Amino acid sequence: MGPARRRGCLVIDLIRAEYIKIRTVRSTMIMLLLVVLLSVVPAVLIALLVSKQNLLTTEPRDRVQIALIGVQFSQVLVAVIAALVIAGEFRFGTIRTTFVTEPRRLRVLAAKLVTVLVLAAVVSALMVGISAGLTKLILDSRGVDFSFTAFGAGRLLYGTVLYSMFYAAMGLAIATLLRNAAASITLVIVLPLIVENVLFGIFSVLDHESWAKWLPFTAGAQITADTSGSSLTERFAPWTGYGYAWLWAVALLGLGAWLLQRRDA
Amino acid sequence: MIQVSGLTKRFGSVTAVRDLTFTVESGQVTGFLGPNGAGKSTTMRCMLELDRPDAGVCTFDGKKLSQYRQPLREVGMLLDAKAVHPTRSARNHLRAVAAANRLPKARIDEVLGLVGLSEVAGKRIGGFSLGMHQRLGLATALLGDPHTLLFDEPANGLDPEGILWIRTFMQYLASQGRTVLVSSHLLAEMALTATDLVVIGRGALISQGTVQEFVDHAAGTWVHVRSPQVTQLASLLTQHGATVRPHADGSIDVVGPDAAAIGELAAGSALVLHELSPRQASLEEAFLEATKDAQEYQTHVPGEVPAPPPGVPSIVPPPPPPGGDSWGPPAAGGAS
Repeated sequence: MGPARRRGCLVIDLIRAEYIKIRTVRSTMIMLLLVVLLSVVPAVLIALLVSKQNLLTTEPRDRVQIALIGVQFSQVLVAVIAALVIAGEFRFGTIRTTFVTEPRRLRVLAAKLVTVLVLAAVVSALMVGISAGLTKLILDSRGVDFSFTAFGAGRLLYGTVLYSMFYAAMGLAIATLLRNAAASITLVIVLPLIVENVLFGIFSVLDHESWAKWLPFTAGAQITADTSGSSLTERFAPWTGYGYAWLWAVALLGLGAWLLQRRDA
Repeated sequence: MIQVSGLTKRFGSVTAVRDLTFTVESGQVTGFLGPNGAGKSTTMRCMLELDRPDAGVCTFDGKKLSQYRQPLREVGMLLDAKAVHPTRSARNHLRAVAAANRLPKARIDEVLGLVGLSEVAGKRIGGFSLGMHQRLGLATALLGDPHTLLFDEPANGLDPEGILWIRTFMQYLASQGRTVLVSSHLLAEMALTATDLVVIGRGALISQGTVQEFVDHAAGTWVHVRSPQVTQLASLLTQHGATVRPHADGSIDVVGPDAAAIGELAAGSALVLHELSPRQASLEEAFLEATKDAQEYQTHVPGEVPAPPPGVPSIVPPPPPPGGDSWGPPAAGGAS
């Protein structure tokens, strides 16, 4: 490689730096370990401990759903890591080193976005594969049918990965806006798990349950939802909801990028 | 070379930096001096494009930082040595920084050796002392082998050995032809470290020039004179336009004519002199004089503000003892 080619500094270099930052901090590694445990252990326990009778009463698609309960829950940790990818830098002051290294902050944010999307996709795909694979091994040995190709199961599997990517992007966007680690983590956890549920309750009381479909995380989660036999007035179709949810992510990221450039670091 | 022109930065209604223009030459250490709150750190953050100035621009060797494709090859900075992740190891911290600018991996161990951190390179930064943090900050700044180095109060909190080490290091870096700008609120420290001074107060430039020029200009010089015929001498000097400040012990300070002129005047009138010694204000006096209107938080001492104590010898602090202890000077040739 000639010297001229070596001199350029590309977004790929920034992405490489982001991965080094993620891998070399204890807290993120502990959280990734937790993601593995939270994903795999529930799947294995359910497959081993739930009675065959009960399992046989479930739909084939629901058996896949059960296998992914842990994976879907652990996605919150991946989103927290995504938030810390930028909030952690503000917390410890390393963002200044990062911004001197690459003063064009949009590139920094782009590198962080790619990093967390790839991280979420890889981690989620691995966890889906391992959890579903182990569940299938166990259930097959117990004589319970477990099929990846059951009706709706396919979208459930890849949809889980896609939702994790959306959640991670939201985590990064929220942290870019707030810049505060504790506040970002809180919001990342509370928004989908509590805030949207509370709003759903309020909408129900107001007799406007269908409003809830406009909530970003509710909409995004449609990518894994079972749409058989439900009306689409109450909620979005899977891809519509997922696409709509990304509008939120893109809007928040855009706002975050604009503020990131304007604010003093 | 660094050129700052017309830099202005406001925080709400407070103007932290006001139309600041100065240049920093390469090959020497330039001190960036001002009382606490004068706007030194804000200026440095604006120079590095971390803060958005309301007006003005800063260029390093003719280009803004963001115009460099690998900024670390042009500028190294040490703003806050504590700005590191405590659970990351020193080497991993440098790896991440190096990767972002595609700097050669071999350079990581090179700079670790240069600052004397090779043995703790794999240890978590959280366990480092302040001195080790400063060394790591310096290693980070040197990673890209940059032409320009910015240090914000690098001596803060260091023990005397650490201060000596970092001072020696900065001079060593400047001797390699680099541009080195070091901020400080301690004039004595800068007098030992820097050749040039950029002095600011309340965000505005007070003076730029050599340390010597600053002292001469800001606090001036006088001649301390003893004579058995001091009354006659004093009136003679006053007639010739000099200002005479008497001391309790009968000696006088003469401001205006230099020692030779006073001697000739005395000889012309056959007056005996017992002492005729040129004196110079200390750096601290010069600094206080220059920035007295620009202290952000003025302290009003009731009663008379004491004049510079007479007869204080010309104060340039004693030269540093030679290195050779654990904070020894950097190994030659390592950083180029």
